[in-house]
Amino acid sequence: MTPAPLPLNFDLVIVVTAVFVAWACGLLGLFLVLRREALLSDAISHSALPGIVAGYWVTGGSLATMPALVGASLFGLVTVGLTALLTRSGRVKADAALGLVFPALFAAGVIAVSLNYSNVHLDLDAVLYGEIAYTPFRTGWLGLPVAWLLMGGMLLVNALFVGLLFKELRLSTFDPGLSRTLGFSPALIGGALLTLVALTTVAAFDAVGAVLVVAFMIVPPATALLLTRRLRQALGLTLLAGLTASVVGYTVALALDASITGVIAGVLGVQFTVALAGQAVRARRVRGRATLGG
Amino acid sequence: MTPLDLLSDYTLRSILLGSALLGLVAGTLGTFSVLRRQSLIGDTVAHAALPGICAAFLLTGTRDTLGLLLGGGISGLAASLLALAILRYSRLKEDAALGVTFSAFFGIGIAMLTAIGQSGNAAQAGLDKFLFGQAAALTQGDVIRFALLGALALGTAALLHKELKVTLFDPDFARVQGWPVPGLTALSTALTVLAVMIGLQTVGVVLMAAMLIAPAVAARQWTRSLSGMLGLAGAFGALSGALGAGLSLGVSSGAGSLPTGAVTVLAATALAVLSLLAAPRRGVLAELVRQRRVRARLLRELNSGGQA
Repeated sequence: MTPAPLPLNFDLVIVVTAVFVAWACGLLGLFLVLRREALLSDAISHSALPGIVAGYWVTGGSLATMPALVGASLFGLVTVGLTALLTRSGRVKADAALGLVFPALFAAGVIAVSLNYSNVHLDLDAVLYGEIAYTPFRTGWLGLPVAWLLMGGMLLVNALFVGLLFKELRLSTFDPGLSRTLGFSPALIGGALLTLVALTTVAAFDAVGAVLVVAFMIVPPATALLLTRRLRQALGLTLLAGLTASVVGYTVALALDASITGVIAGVLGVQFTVALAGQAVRARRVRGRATLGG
Repeated sequence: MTPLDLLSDYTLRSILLGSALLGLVAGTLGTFSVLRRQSLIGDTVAHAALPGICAAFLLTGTRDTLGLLLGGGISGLAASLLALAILRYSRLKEDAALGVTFSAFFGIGIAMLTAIGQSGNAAQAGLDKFLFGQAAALTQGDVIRFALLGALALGTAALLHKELKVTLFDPDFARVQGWPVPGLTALSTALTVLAVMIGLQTVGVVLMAAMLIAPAVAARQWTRSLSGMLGLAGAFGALSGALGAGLSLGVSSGAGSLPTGAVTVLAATALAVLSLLAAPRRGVLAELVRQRRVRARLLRELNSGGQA
């Protein structure tokens, strides 16, 4: 006898999925932004395409989730590795190295799709946009939504990583030299961080699409860093921004009958803009007071 | 199909010329963003064009290319200026500034696209072509338009060459000279937006980023001067465009078809990798040869020193 699905409300499934993704991405994204590697998430989300095609090819043309995830994660790591190789050669700056690697991998993926699967419904749109509205229909173990299991698991792993290695992460992000002297390997910690970023990105865009993964990875941490200079507070603000944007974005998307992921990304943008404006006003006031006082 | 067909056939010639022109303009102007460490601004602009394209469609109700590109250009420009403002008014760095603006703009664009889709308007079907690009749809009219816009962008860059160069390499000196540094930075960004708009229709959003970066990276390997780099990057870009169009048109008679944009990007990437490896002074191979020579000389001197 198969267990009856838990009587979960659609809205609840979608909002909780969004919050899981927001938190799993935000925890890592804060360190990415601090390390000036924010755009890696965007790069990985695009260069995963050949990996998805490879997974499709290996399984003989079924859109199974697991092989696609494995392939995509592998190509995520290839992106990270090639970018590091190019940057370390000293001939290309980090941003140009990234911009060289991911479009090339994406182009290879596009060619593979159009040569072999032009008549198959291997939908590029589905890969890039994702569709969070379908998450309630896919249930797995205990009748729980697959997206909850996948993203909940990813959130747990990332939370453990950041929680247990908080000191090491902080040190290797702000002072790699000191970190090396003290005997922590900043390269090892950075490598672990980027591996988790690749896994999280790929796992999340199965649930919500690449657009929202990148938005959750970059925008809430950037907003938090506008508001505070303390790492712990920034972490808290990142989680708060992800939570509120998920709830508000979902409500607004329902009202407008528009893409949920698109609207949530838009709300994140609005949050950031408000924080930026607030900071600009505060900076002006401080400057004004300084001239008056001086 | 023979190479001769490419030059004589009206449609094929348009595709070939259009792709080469796009490569020329993107390659040249990309040099500025790569040197400014804002390589991925092309990616930002290309993504951020989406809400503008949707808005233009909602306002005009047609898929007229010029209107859509104008809308896309305006929102792309707004996003890149916003990114520059974030850099100026906060402690956030280039990657975060670009990432924030493009994901927010693209998100809003996706929301608009789905809202348009739900309204059931038949003409919306073609809007997403802008995301992936379609060189095969290039007409002679497009090529003429590319040429005019490209001439405008490159002409502006040539006229202000000295000012842009100094602003790029020594902004403090430019400020002392009394030049409007933020204005000049915004202008060179606006030129990049123009280049992206020219390419959007041909190679699509994601691949457009590469057309700004790869030719500039390749060119940097061969020269030390800015004007040399600008010229070479343009030439590499044009070559990639022509190669991409030629190869994809030559092969697509078979079972599947090769998308022009993707082939163009791979051609540009191949040129960049080749240059990184084989360029005379800065190349990886030249470096290896140099190291080997130094090591041999050192060994020789050590040996002769031991005997003396």
